Amino acid sequence: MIVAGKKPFAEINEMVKDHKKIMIAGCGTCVAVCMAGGEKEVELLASQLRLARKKDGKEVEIVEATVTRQCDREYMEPILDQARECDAVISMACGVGIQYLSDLIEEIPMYPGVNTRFIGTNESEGVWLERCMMCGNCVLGETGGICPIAICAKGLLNGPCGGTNKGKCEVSPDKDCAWTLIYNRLEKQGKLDNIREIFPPKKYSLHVNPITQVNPAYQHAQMEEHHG
Amino acid sequence: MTQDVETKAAVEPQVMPPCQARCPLHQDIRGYIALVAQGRLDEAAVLIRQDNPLPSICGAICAHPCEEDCRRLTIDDALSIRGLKRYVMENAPNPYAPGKTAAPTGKKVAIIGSGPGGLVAAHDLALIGHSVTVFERTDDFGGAVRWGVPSYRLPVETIRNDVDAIAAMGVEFKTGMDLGTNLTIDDLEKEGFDAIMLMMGLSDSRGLPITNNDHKDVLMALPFLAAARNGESLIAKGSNVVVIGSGNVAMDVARTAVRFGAGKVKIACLEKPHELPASPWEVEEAIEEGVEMDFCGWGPNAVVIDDNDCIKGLECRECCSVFDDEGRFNPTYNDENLKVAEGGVVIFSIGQGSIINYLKDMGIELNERGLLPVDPKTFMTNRKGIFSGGEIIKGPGPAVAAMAHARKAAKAVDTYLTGVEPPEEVEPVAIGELESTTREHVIHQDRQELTLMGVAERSDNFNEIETGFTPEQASKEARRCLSCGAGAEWIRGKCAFCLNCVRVCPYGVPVVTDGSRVDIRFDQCQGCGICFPACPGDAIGFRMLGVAEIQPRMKVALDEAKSRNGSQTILVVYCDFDVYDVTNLRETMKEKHAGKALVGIPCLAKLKAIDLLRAFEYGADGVMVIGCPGNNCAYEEGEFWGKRRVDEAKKLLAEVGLGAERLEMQFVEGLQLEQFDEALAEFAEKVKSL
Repeated sequence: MIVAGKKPFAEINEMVKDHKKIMIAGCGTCVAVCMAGGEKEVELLASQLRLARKKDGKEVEIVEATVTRQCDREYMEPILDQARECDAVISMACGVGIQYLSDLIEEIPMYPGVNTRFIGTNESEGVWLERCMMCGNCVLGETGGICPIAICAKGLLNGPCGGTNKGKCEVSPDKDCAWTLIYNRLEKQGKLDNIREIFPPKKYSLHVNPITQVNPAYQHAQMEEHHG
Repeated sequence: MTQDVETKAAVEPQVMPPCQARCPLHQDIRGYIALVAQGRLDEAAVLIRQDNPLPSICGAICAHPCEEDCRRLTIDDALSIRGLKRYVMENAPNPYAPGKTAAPTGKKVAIIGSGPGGLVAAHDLALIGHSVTVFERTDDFGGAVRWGVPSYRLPVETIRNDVDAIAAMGVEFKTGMDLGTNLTIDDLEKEGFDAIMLMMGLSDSRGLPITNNDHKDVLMALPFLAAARNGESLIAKGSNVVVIGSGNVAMDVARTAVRFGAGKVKIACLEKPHELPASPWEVEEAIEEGVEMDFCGWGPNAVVIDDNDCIKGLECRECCSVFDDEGRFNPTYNDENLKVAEGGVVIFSIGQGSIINYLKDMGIELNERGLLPVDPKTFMTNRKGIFSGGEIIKGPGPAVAAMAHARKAAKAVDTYLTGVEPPEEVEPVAIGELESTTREHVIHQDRQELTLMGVAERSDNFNEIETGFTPEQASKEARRCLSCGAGAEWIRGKCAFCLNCVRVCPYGVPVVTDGSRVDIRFDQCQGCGICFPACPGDAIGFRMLGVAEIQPRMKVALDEAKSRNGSQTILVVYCDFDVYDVTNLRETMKEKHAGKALVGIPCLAKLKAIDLLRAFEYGADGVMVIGCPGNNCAYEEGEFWGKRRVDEAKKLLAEVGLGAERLEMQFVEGLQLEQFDEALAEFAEKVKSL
């Protein structure tokens, strides 16, 4: 799941200070789950903006709209006309949703309501942990299901480094040493020999931005043929 | 944006809380109890009267089968539902606020008999616009509850309150009109009545064919009780009395005899003391008053008379069993074992019937047993336009059952008059049982009992023996309600399946189902509301009264407060479950804090940060949230989560630059008014200085 965090209110307020009719567009999937940009957060931000403007004796009209996902055109279509009637849109979706919504209403200034941070897991209520850096070349099969790129502070493919200290990382005593975790996991799996293998340098060429991915069943040529 | 809302309630509309399903009138008990917990007594009275036209009578004497099915019984003890109904009718500022009746239909209905059944039929038919006249043979209204229930249980004024409210709907009441004596069906038809309902109930006591049953000191229960209602005793002071019978009426007779100064009063009946069909509390109170039960398990054989033609007692034979193997009434006796219950008066109280032979002369057929048959669907007798319902048709039972039967009959009469068929009625289903995993998290709270007058104080007079709840008792009792089925409501179209509800619920109610979906099991939900503000998608609704409409209530309260005092407006949000006397609290607010608004919520765990921000949007200068200290919270973790929501809102306010100190949370146990008053005054000063 994509994890985002709410932007500080002061930053948002400054970004939109010149706009009088603002849509706050929430997203009902990842950012709702991580409590950053779902319907509830949209309500709260709307209320905060109204209160801040009232305090400064300025007017604002807020339109609240939350869709199931901002990364799909079909979910957004019902709110586009409303958005076009506003001076600005604050999207509470992840960076993907914000851009996509902006593509659909290019003429309207678009502002992010959240900072998109990582993809991760929900550890317990209100707590999320990063687990993947989307390197495009997964090695988890060799590392006991623990990612050295995401979990190791240095992203080392061959570890641990000299900074490992009783299972913790030299970067911070709060962080586990990823390679100690990998060692212990491989031991449980009887695959400690994996650790002797030296990973070659990672092919970062696989990750040239922006990536486009096409499912083989939906290749462009085939689709064109299908649709005539 | 608006999304599809799909709720469990919509799928299973007939699932009711067990109390409501069990009540013959299916009253919205859960609803009015929630309103009592919130101190909204006028609204509670409206809700009670929506289903029950005799709320004061039922508040005093209902047999309350609802309490037998209360799910709280599996935790500690049932709710005192009758006690709470009584509290509302005695304490609401305007308990009988007139409701709307439909436009007149021009149809006239005569109702013969003003007992509970007749009164309900009159009410229901008047409500839908028919012109109703009630004909009563005695000089006052109420039938069995007026003449067959003693004053110490049901004062006449209590009955009058309910009857007056029905009269206020436009129902005409006539006394001294006795069908078969000075009134006939033909008379009524000539007067233009379109339908006539025979609602005479069972007004004749039955006796037994035993030797000397015609002695002058052998009395019948109903005339004895009716005379008592008029202050007249049919027994000499000091006489020993044997009451034959085992039901509630027998207990009423025995206890009435005690009050008239009888010597010894004995109950003689087939059932053994622990088998008596009378309500257990009636038996217990009778024993406290000195009624003897040593002839329970003995069948009456003969009234024994001495040489001076005075009754010596009741000869009884040992009863070996009352029912046969198939559960039918078929008593067996040991005729060798006889003994005499000594006494100078014998009172039959073995049941009621109805002597209605006179109906035959009016063209109404009775069956071979002398009973009045009606069509089970139309409730019509063989004579067109003549209907019947209540106990005369369904047989004896608690008043509330007669009322429910009369309601069905009244609906049938309406169908006859208007030709409009009512929607088909489906018997409701009670919500399932509480699982042990849910039960173990429910905090035990003792049941509040209605206060009964001491034995010495009550046994020589007919003053009402029961006192209604105090505001504190009523609040405590009302908040014990488990709000079965009125808690969280999962809104499927909005759910992001984040599982936050699964993680925060202290009762384990939301679960991940087989299809990797979430189910907030409404039959297990305790209504704590912790999940309600925790849902990031606003995908949880709340059925409990007073929760969903918190923001509009805040707005109304703030607008009112602003109109009283324009300079500064403080909103006080309090936990309904913390305050024992809302009326008093409101008075204090009016007297000392005129510019402040007051809104309660049933546990602060249901409060959302947005609610608090909205209060500022509505114009509050400061908001004070008053909660109950942790160990007083009705729910597990309620206070913890309430505080978190306030902290969340404080942070948001600080970000806006309004100042977190404009929002304050305090814990005042039982909302002690003095402490509250001081804290509020201090807070108001602080807000002024900001």
